[in-house]
Amino acid sequence: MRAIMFRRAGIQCCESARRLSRLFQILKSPHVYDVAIIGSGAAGGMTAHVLTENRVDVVMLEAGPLRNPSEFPIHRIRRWNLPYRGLRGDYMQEWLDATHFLADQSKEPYGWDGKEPFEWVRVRAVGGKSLFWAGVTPRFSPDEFQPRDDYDRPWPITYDDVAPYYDRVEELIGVTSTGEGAGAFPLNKGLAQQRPNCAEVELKKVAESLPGRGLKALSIPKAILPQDYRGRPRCHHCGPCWQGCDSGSKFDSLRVFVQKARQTGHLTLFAGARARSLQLSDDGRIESVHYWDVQDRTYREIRARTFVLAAGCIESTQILLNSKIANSSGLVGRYLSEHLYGSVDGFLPQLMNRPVVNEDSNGSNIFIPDLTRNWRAGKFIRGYQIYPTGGIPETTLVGQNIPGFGAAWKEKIREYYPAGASVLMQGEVLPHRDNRIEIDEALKDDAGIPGVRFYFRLRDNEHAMFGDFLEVATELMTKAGAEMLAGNKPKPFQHGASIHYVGTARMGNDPKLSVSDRWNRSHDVRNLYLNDAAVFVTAGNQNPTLTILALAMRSSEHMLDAIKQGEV
Amino acid sequence: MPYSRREFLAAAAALWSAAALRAQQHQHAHPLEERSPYKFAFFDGEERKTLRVLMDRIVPADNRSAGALGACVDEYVDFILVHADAALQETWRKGLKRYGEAIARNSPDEVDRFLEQQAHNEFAPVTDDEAFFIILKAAVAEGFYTSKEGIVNELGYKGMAFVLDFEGCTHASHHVPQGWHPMLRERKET
Repeated sequence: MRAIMFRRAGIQCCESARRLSRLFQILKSPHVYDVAIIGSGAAGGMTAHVLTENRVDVVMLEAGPLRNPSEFPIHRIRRWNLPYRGLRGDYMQEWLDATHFLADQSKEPYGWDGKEPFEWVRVRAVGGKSLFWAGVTPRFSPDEFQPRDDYDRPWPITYDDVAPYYDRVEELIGVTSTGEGAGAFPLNKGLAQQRPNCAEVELKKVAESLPGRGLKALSIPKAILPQDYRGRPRCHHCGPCWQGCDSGSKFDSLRVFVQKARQTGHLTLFAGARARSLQLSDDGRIESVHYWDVQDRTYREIRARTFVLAAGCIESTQILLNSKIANSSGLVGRYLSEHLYGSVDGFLPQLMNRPVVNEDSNGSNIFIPDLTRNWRAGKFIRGYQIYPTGGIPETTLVGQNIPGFGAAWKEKIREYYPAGASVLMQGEVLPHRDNRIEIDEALKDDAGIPGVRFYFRLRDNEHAMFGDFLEVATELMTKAGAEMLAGNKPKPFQHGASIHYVGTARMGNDPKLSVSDRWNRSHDVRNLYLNDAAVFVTAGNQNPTLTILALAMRSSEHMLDAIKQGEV
Repeated sequence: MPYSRREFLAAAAALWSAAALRAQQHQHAHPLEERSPYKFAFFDGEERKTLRVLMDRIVPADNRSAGALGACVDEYVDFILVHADAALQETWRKGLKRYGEAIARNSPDEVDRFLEQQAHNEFAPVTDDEAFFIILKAAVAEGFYTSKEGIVNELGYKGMAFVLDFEGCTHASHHVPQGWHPMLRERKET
């Protein structure tokens, strides 16, 4: 409450503050918070949740505005509203652009090296990317923390270190159940299971009977409520969750963490506050963050005793690089990783010409976890998982491949329309030192903050993994009887398409070989925590959010101890 | 660089799906929230007239939907072409001119017969006219099946609407319809 009162007082004297700001370049903050969190997505929200529950005086900066869930576009923007109809470049990117929830690239530019673009999604709203994620929450398996190869250093922590936090996060936010574990992939602590649609049932049946593959299709764990849970209503299956959620049945940081943290009276939220840099004091600790006040178009400063970067892997790293701190290892920005995506598509004749029903659910319902020891046969290291998907989609372009035109041709399109099925992969891109971001002074935003340039490419292991996926997926689709186009050679999706950016401030025990320690704490600057996916040592092949939440909970509780002991 | 004629035709056809990709990478596209009358920026009056005659035969109206004309597919194609590169723009200008001359004063049935001739080698085009048919059909199909008319009325898509309880598949099994045979074809890549 103290902090909120203070903020009100701050508003009242803002005219004189504006006059002052013309005299001093940065408007100084008179109050020193216990903890300043930069970013309000999954990582920032979890951090605020843990700290405010324990009466720590927290301030949170979010570059975007605070938007009421009733303003969320959800399924109100439809494909036909989009100028390119989602067909030129990435549908999700064009759709998200249309919501005006994304950073405006003309004001906040970024770049990439060479000819291969890197797709970078920056959500500008309290809640961050958690507002638009698909809600998929697999745990990392033990092998993903400690890979069974000597390619690179393992994580400084094991599955057993994180498992208790996985349990607690799953209980806190509410997730659907995997039903069982498979191979190294663990059973989660979920509620009911997702229910597969017709195409998924067909593909699951075939996948599990492929000779010698040992595949197992499980219900996808999702942070989407199959029942009313902890004051949030169950999912009403209105469509794909990456378009947002109107009921809060899908976990997002705004409704599950930030709003509740504000109600404790211990969280002060500054929306429209784009962090530029962290300032070190003479004793080597961070004393303040400088941010751009988007509304007033001026720089301001907030002081705190401890700082948490949770702006998303890339932006947290951008802030570190622009601050020129915490980088004695020289590794800040390096080892950028994400997931390798690709899909094999076809049509299942057994689903041809069936009645059109609403099969959207909340997206996909089943997946085949990584069982690489059965698959890889030495062709590549690490793993990938498979989503057998289908359902009656918003549209089809199958007409391009059906001869003719006119009324008869349209009828054939209608027969094929409900029969579409795909096998989608999500695989690990190996951490590579040269996959990185750098600051490019030429890419300044409208506040003069230097932007980032991506240097990213796939290498032999990813290509070998992709080749293996094509083999498995083609076998699966063929055995399911799918009609496929032989000349349609799938390619990996565009870089960044997974939106699972990880790894640019990796954790480790050795300060020379890592940026943060096993508690997400900077080796160099002891009152700095990196609570988002920047600390990931590997991308694994699991969606990162559950692990981000678990690690943020773990590091925040560690931070609490440090605060109590007067260490930070 | 020496190109065979066949390669040139294949490349021209592939251009449709690549069209405007470059444009999108450099500019922000925003939804047409308040729909003002579309202003044609690529087609002239004659070209547009020809396109409308052709697209009405490719996706005719029926008792389900208002077809390509009702879905204003010409506006979509115009928008894509404004942002397309010069080679594709040139292909369209020349193609519509040739087609326009060929179908001038034709009845709808005669237009159908003309299009049937052009579609004869649909997946291995030899002449410029045959190559243009592929581009024309791809553009019209794309514009129609991504329009509200195409998605809601023609396909009958029922999603993005709330359901109390999603039950998933409730069928004991699925069966291939009697007499089904594969129908899909693809253009041969060179």
